[in-house]
Amino acid sequence: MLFTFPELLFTVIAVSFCLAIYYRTKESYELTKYPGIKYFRDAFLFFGFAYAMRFVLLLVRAFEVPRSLAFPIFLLPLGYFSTIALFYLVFSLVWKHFSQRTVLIGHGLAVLLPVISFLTRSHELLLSLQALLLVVALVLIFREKVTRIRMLYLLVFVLWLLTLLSVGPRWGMRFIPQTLSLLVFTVIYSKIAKWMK
Amino acid sequence: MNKKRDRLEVVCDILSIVNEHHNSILPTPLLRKSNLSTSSFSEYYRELLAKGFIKEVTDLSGRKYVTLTDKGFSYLEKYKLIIGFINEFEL
Repeated sequence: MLFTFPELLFTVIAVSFCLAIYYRTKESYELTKYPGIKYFRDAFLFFGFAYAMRFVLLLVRAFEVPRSLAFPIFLLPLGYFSTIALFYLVFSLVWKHFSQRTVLIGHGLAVLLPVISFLTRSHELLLSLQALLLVVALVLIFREKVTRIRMLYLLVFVLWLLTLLSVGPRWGMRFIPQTLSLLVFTVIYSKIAKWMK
Repeated sequence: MNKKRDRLEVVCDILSIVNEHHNSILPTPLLRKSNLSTSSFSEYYRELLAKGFIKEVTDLSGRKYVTLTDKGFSYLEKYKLIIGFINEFEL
């Protein structure tokens, strides 16, 4: 059975971290309306939704709802939330070089990718398409400089892909990406807590 | 430094000027001390009023003073922390 207590625990902690990051930065955004803070917050809000939807997807499998029906339907919100989260994460770093309208491209991709996955009924395809986005993200993140914080952003991206990969039926190494994800969220949250007293 | 970051700084500078004048200053000296053009100052002034960072208070002789609101004080208090956060996360 794929649905286990550790999965529930991981999801609760991951979603809590994402929402905590979102709410901890709320006042800063409300005071400044600074776009970079907005994209950063939105990234973690959508990551929270994505991790929650991933758990729902595991539930669907655990209760053996026919895969041909429920699984692809739940792929749609999972794909949208995760793709837009990944987009906002990278965009929060590079938004100054692009117009506000670029956000529409992010939403376009966030709709297109899950629709393709839905039509093919494959979360592996969603994973592959998001991995392609990783190539673009790598160029955007590191084209100016390589810093620790940019490496942290990259880790959030890669660890999401690994966590999504572990939705698959034959994947037995969930513990490592999940532990690393929580570690990265802890680092990010503690850095935020330092400034948001 | 990018335009938006400058904007955050300018807002902080204007609010600091009001604060340094015992939270009460006429708009004309505020304009002079802010080192902005009249048109830029007007834009920021309207924005700060609209966002509720400052408010206008009229005294008995009909003169209009600018004072900080609680939100304005909060911005000043949090400004350095917010800039620290923006810099650390390269936002």
